[in-house]
Amino acid sequence: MTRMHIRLAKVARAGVCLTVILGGAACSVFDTEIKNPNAVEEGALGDAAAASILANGLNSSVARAFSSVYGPYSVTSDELTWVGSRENWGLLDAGEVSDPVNEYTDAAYPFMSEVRWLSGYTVGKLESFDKAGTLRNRIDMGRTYVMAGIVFMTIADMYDDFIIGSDRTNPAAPVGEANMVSLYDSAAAYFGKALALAQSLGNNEVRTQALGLRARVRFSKALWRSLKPARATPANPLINDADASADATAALALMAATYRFRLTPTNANTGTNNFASEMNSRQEIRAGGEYVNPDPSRNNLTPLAGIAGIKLRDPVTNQPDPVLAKAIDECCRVASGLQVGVTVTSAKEMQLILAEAALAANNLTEMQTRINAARAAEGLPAWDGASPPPRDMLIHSRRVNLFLQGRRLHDLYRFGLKADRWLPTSIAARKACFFPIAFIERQSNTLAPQPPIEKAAYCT
Amino acid sequence: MQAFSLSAALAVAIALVAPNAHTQSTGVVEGTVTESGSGRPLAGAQVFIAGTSIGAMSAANGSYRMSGAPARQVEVRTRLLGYGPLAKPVTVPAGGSVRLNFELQISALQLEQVVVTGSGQATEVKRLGNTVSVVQAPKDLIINDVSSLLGAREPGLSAITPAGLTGEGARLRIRGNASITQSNEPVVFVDGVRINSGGGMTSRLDDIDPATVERVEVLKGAAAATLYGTEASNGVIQIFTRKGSTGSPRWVFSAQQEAIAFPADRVDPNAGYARTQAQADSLATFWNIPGLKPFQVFEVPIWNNYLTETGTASTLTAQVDGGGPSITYFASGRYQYEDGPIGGASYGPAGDKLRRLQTLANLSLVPFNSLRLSVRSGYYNTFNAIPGGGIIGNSIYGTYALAGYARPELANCNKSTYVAPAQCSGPGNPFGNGAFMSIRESLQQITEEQVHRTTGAMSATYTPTSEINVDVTAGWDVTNRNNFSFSRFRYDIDEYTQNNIEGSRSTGAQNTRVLTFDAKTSWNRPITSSISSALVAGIQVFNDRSQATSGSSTNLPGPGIEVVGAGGQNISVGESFLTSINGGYFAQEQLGWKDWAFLTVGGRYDFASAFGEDAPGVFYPKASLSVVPSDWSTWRSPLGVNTLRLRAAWGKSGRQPGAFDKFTTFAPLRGEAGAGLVQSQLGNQGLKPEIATEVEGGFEAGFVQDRVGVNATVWHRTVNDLLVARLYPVSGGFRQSQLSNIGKIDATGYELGVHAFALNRRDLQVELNVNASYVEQTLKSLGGAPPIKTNSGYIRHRVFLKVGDPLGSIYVPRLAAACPGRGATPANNRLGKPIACYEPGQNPINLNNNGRAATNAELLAYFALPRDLKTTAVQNALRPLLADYDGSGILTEQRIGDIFPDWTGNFGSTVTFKRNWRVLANFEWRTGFTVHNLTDAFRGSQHATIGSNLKDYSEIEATLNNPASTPQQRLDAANKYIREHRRLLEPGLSEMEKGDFLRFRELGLTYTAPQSIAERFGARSMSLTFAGRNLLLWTKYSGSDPEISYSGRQPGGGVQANFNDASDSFGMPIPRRFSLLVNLAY
Repeated sequence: MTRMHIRLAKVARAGVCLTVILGGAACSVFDTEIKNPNAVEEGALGDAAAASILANGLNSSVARAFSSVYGPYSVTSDELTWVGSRENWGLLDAGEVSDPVNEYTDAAYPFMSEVRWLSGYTVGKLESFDKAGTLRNRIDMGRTYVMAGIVFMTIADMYDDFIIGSDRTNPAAPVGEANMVSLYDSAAAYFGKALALAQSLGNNEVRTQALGLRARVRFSKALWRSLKPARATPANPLINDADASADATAALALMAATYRFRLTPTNANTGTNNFASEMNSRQEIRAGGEYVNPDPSRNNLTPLAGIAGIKLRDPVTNQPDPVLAKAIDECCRVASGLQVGVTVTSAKEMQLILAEAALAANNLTEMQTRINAARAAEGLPAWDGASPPPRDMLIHSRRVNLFLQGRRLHDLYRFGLKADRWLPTSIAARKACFFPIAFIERQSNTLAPQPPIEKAAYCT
Repeated sequence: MQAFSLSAALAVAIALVAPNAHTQSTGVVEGTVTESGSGRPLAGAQVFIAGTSIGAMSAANGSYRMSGAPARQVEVRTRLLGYGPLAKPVTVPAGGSVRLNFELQISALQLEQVVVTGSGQATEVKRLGNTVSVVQAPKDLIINDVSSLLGAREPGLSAITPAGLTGEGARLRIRGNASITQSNEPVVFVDGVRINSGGGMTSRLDDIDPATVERVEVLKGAAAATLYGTEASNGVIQIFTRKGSTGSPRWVFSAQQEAIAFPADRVDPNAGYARTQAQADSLATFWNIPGLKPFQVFEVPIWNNYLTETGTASTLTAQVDGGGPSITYFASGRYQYEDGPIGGASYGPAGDKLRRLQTLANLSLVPFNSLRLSVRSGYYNTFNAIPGGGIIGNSIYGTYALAGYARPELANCNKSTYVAPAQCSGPGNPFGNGAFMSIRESLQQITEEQVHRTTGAMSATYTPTSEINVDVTAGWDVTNRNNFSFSRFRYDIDEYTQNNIEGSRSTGAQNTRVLTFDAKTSWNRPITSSISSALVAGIQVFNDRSQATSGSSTNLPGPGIEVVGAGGQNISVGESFLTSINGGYFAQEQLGWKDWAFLTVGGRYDFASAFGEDAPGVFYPKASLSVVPSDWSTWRSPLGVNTLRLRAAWGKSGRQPGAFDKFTTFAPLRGEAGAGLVQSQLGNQGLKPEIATEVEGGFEAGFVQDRVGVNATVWHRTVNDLLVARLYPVSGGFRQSQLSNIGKIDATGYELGVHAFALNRRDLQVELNVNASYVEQTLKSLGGAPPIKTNSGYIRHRVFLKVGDPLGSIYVPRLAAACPGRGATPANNRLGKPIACYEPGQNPINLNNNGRAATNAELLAYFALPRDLKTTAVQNALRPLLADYDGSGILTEQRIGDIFPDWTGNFGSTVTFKRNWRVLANFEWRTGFTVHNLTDAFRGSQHATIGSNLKDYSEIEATLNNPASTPQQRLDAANKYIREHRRLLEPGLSEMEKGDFLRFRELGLTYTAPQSIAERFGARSMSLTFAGRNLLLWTKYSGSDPEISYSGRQPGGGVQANFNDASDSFGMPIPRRFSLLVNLAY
């Protein structure tokens, strides 16, 4: 029956064509085999020539995911604050961090899931090309490992739980809150592979990135162990991880004093929540009230222009903090535009990892040296090691040097601090909680925590 | 312009030479067409000679003249909507003339009317088991566009207006929504050629000049539209343009002038209050309100007083038709210019403007008796400009939204000098905007659209014998649409907006081409003396192609530069291509029994490029039965029924997915690293069309010598294999939902129409018209997929698709009510769980989130101090006590109604008096739907930066903030806040309202001048019409307009666009229009 229909259709179309030709028109306008020139069908990706394009796509999609997830994170901390029209930014600002129905965390989750899947897909593709000897530029694989590591590290940083095992239409169960630490191991493994490959290829760019990021991920893993299982302020919040310090030291040997590895979206790859646009165009959010002086003539929607807009002061000079001023100029004023990058590792972060390790080990001289190295990179006068006290100096240095880099909420929790806008009854004010598996996932995945809406069940 | 020039020149040339085409073997038939009883002359009646192409249209005085009639005995027939058809024999003298007058009998039923849509060939209505409605433009109204022509005319056909923005067309719905993911627009044909009926800022349907429309045939669903196959499950609209008729050239000129105004009572003034004496003194000066005190609420009507004006519109039309026995022609040209009712010209260059040029030429040739050729050519040029950002739909950045959300207490000229209320010498915030940009800055932003469109068709009808007809039609519709929006360099004249202040420019161009090929053969013959047969078979193929390019950039380098390429940041370019082919071959047999019973069976086999070249097609069958008992010779009019027809129809139709929806794709994603690819679409190789199966039954009955006609239909539709945008776990790596044929919708409806000629005297005729339709649509299955939130990215939008509930249901939080015994609240919900409520002495306030109703004592203690609702702390302390009435376990998703009206309809009358005067009135109503009043959710709530400026709310806030208020006054104010104004924080709470309305849609008063006066102007006839549109609105809805929706002219489908109805989101009220039209015929 089906074949007869196909034949009949073809005969009929031939008849139409004949008539149309007689009428002087072209027959091909009624040909039903239409190609799609707007996208690539998956079958075409089996060619090793696609390797660089896949690696680039992963890079772009990671930057896009960051533009979506860093806004909710930073608003939940005190770095950004809600000033606009949409109340769900306000809920995050007030400390309601674990609400899966929040439209901004809900919107960020798919982007993070997208890059999680794509990183695995791309690594698999490139490794198979490499194994077959068809990979033309092997550093593409190194770049892919770096991105895959960043993805796993960020998921572990930002989420209390996540789903890793799903593939296309096949759902999987969550990793489990207690097992999220394993994502840091996955990240570290990817960075390790990137490092080995970069060393073998003599590529210092990827080697530096991988070393810096592995230092960061090892630091983060130690921090996770200290903070997350208990969800309370740890008695000793300082991190001193030997592996992290070793990587940081090695990385510093490769990094200039102002080195930073930054992922910046373009207007072609910004996510739905693009936090730069939310700040600098739509004005839903603004740099936090402890960081900037808002402009009352603009309904406090933006910081005052210039240095007058900087509220947070450098504890050594007691002047508006110039490091912060630079960061605010870069992210949070209208001139910053709609695409703001996120620094994923930097020389100053390496110094801070080492400074904190030294402080934890009570090596104040080393700590002072590391802090002053970070300050010197910005041309700031040296800190005397005493005023402010080392712990406060560490917290401040992390606050301004790692501004909008996804560290502040962790620091608030572990140092027992509270954001200025948190309500005492909010989740963040009571427990060290991060983002949950979002509603969009719960709704479509029966293996995800159910029921999909029941706030009390979150952040246990 | 070239197409216009060619077609117009051709038509005019023919107009000049055609009268010479007469020969001596022909004669002239002439006479008058009048109304039986009253003797009133009837204009617009079709008079034609059976079996020939010779015809004419009666003039305003009822006269007609057909030259070129064959010199022999012929049968002359006449038809006019609202009257029974009549045929008379006459012998035409060679080279002479004969008079033949017709007196037509009024008839409210039109069973003899000939229709062509859905039947494959011209057929009388009474032979079809399904409904085919015919819409004609009322002669005494001013119809500016096709959207207005179709709305409020037929039961089951609705025109959904986005908002009152100049140039914006309406979306059309027939019998509700047959799809949740695909377009629910009917497919539209013009003279048998499928057209682009989409839109941009303006509607492509409205490109067509309504004055060139002879009639519109409407097929209301799958049972009627089966022969149109895939794409027709939401019905078919076929527009027939006017054709020429034999005779000397007849010219018609008309000039129309209109005034357009927003209704002043639909937009509430902006309220505010001062918190200190100093602020009160300052505001007293600024707004000229002497003696203003702190916490005294004052109002400033910003929209009405500062930003509206009386808009104007002018329209000029010229038409000519005529011809001879072998050639007839019709040509028309229309120019329309409108400067809409948005004012504020002194604040900025943006405005609301519309300009349309519409031309059409129709040419019919009869080279041989057996062959008729026709050519149609049209050219349309549309220009539309609106202020502010956003080219489609309503925008929160638009001037109207910014006017509505301005808070007069924030107004100041602190960066320049105060001049007068709302006027600063330079930068300032003269209206008190709290977010996004100032009103003056919004009026610096220009958004425009320009459309060039050519359409055409060629058709041939070959009639080798009287029984066989072969029709071939080929047509095209090519649209080039260009859009741009532009904010000039440093348009931030108030130094307020931070949004791309160095300017931005975006452009877009879309080229759409629709090709149609249609060929069919019909064979009509008697099988026996009692049985007749009408067989038709044919093929139809459509090719739709669209190409779109776009570019945008920001940060223009300086003033005066207006090109995308100059921008320094956010540079973006885009290009996309889409082609889809679909078609089918069809056959239908209609058997008639003694001309009073008709059985029709048929079907269509469809193929489409969406499924690939080797995919099997889809077969859509149909069957219908029509019986006319009143045509029995033994019919004796039981119960006063003069005419009765019973009918039933069953049929299938479909909707196909998008051209490339089945593929697993990776999409380009550009970034710092360069060009890349990212997974995009999951793909589904098993994708197929969704199938609508519809059954309908009904009757037409005529009473009082058919002066009262009743038409009733009941229908039921099931959509199987419903294309659901299934959301798979996003953890699987794909963010987009994937279309899958897994759902099912059931819908049932009733349609009722009554048409009556209540009075028919010589000097007074009264005609009444009443229509009503009911639609009930239920989502029966999502195939196991989770419920779908129809606008997943916006938490404030509250329409979900949940199995078992009506389509378009709204789910919101609901406030606890008084406990059982003291209120209407039941004790337990369907799960047997207690429903939260409050006792005497308690309030529906969940103070500090403690989970129970707060007592008066607790709240009086809390309100010992003033409390500011703008602060997060107070908002969190004063939470509403919510209740789970549904037993869904989800407090935020309690069903309270749906966005689609249960009942829609219209009623009206036409009164003709003193022979020369005629008044027509038409009222439209809709009931049983709920509107999301998002505009006032901002205006009437605690929102910190925008709105929060309705008087009721401002009084609450002033009371709570006023140190002089007592705790009891604050408690009372808080109760009002929680019960009526706690909006946005729990999205949907107190934001939904019943949208029931009755609208005085149309009024027309026409004076037809006596012949003697017309002749003074050298004219055959002359008339003057005064008309009004959207004159009055009766509704309890408190927002700007219950009729508006969020989507603009977006017929393309998608879950979000399909469920944006009844969303009053920053949309302007629909304006009133008053028109004066002078019509001269020569």
